[in-house]
Amino acid sequence: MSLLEVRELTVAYPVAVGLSAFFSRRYLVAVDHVSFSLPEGGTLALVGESGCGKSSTGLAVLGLLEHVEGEVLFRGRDVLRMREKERREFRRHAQIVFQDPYESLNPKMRVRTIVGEPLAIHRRRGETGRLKEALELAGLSPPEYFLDKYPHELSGGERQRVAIAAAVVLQPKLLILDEPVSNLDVSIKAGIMNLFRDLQDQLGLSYLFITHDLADAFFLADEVAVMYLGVAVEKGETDEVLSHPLHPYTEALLSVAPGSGREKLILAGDVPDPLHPPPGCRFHPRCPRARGRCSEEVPPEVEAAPGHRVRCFYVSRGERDPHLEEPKPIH
Amino acid sequence: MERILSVKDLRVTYRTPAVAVEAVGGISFSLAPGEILGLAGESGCGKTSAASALMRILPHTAEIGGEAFIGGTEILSLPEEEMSKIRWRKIAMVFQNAQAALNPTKTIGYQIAEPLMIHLRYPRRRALEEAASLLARVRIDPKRLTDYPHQLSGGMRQRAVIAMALACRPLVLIADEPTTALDVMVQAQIIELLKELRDEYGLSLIYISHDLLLLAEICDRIAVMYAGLVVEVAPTGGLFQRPLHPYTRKLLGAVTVLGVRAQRLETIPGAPPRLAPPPPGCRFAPRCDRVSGACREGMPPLEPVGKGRRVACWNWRGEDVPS
Repeated sequence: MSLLEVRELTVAYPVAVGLSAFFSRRYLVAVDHVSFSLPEGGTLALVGESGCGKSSTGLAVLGLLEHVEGEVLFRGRDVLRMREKERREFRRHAQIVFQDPYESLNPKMRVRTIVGEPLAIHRRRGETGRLKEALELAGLSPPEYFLDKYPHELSGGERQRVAIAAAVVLQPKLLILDEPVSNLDVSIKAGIMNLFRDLQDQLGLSYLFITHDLADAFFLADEVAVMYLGVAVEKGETDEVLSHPLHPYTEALLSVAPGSGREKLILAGDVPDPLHPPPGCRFHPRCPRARGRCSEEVPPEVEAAPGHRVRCFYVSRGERDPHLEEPKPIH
Repeated sequence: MERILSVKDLRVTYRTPAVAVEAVGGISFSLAPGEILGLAGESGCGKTSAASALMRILPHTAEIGGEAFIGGTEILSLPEEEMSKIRWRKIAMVFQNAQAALNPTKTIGYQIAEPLMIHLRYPRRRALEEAASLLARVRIDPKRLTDYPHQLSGGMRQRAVIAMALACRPLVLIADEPTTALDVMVQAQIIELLKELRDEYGLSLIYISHDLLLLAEICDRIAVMYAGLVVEVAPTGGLFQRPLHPYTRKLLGAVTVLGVRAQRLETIPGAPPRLAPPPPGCRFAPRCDRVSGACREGMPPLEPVGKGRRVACWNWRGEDVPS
């Protein structure tokens, strides 16, 4: 059974632009009807470029955002509609690790306090055993050496391990990993990626892994969802999606990942302004396959292969469809 | 062979009353016309210090040693007024943070025209015309000449900075992590642009990055730095097929690669040494899995080992030798 089932999740942020703030509220839709499920002990990667809505999805799953619609079912219970007491219990089971361990740790707190804080909040104060165990799990050993350190006394990798210790100290079921290795040097990042693997094996954790790096997703995730401008354009098993990408955006993204060995499909220009998203398929203005219909209708999600879902009218199937025109030149 | 830039025993030492940190400990390399040389390494390995020393833009607390020749002129010992005729005209640099490299109160057009007016004494009008064609060259609509930096996207800002750096047609361009803050698609656009500029103008490039796979896409040769020293130089293909230095091997094993199912990634235990002052012996020895007695006694020199390759390791032969 799925640990987490997200259905038609939509996240909006109110924006105030000039006078419009007084007269009418406008919303930026950051996540648009995104659905996915995460099995117990599994890893789903949300992949995409800046502003695609992957982090907003992570925060919404934890129930940390307002203006959220849809359902976030954690073991069948909707996080978005939980009462205070139940939500508190849910928070014990779902934790998050952020990108920047230089900013996510309070510089005035010792490691003891940072990692102990979740215990205190959930009234499990005084469990030093737990605390040491968490540090040990995160690879900070011996724990006694780290307990009384301040974040500035630690290296970047050690800080991220402290953040991970604080995330696992309550023995959660679900970890949201929001670009957890993006600010780290290669050799340190490798250690943290291995650690995520180990923790999953030891604790049976489920990960929602938010990343811009396809190779990292490939390393850690069983399944992947590719996002573009708030829409999950393609979903499926990691191997399947990365070896047989069906959506033109996935194809392009994959081709420009350093080391992919694919012929580069470089898209011109930038991602459009999310306040004024293009009509129809949001990718159509940059899409080499776009035709009339794409700017008028939103492509529905179709299951193109078992478990492999894609939102595109003109799905590629490995080879080029002879009825399609040659792709437009990129520039 | 003809060399556009040759650097010999470059050293950078940051001095404070209490300590002297040797950020770059004596590195040598050269650059052929139209060549793209990658400078790889992790934070603190000295790659940015080395580049900034060549531009002579380091703070006064930095002491520069060694020699660097551009077209027969030694630039490290030049007085500032002489250097200001070379900087931007012969050697230019693009930085990671394009936002910080641009003046928020001046238009993009003015900022590209400015080096032309200052260094080449172009009249304002001609400089602005040239700025428009430079903008077009980096694929920004020349209509945006009158835009301010905040009106451009991150990728466009970095293109504008590249246009500024190219305004005076330098021979050598140093690109210091120019795409690290950008998304992959924009990164691919910038890489493609730099390659085109190399092909068109015969520009020579030093491309600095921590990302080895990215360097593989653009560089002809790669120099790997560790703790202030170059530990290995090799043509890109050779480096990836057969890394010789133990640090390079570890680094390549630590990278996640698409399509390569690794159960675990290589990690490098420990941390780089403090460089105030640097320890005796090989700087990688405390973290190395091939360490022997000789490693603790002296730093191995960067020596040629055939096929355009050089490596600084006593035990590089290990199990495999380049055929």
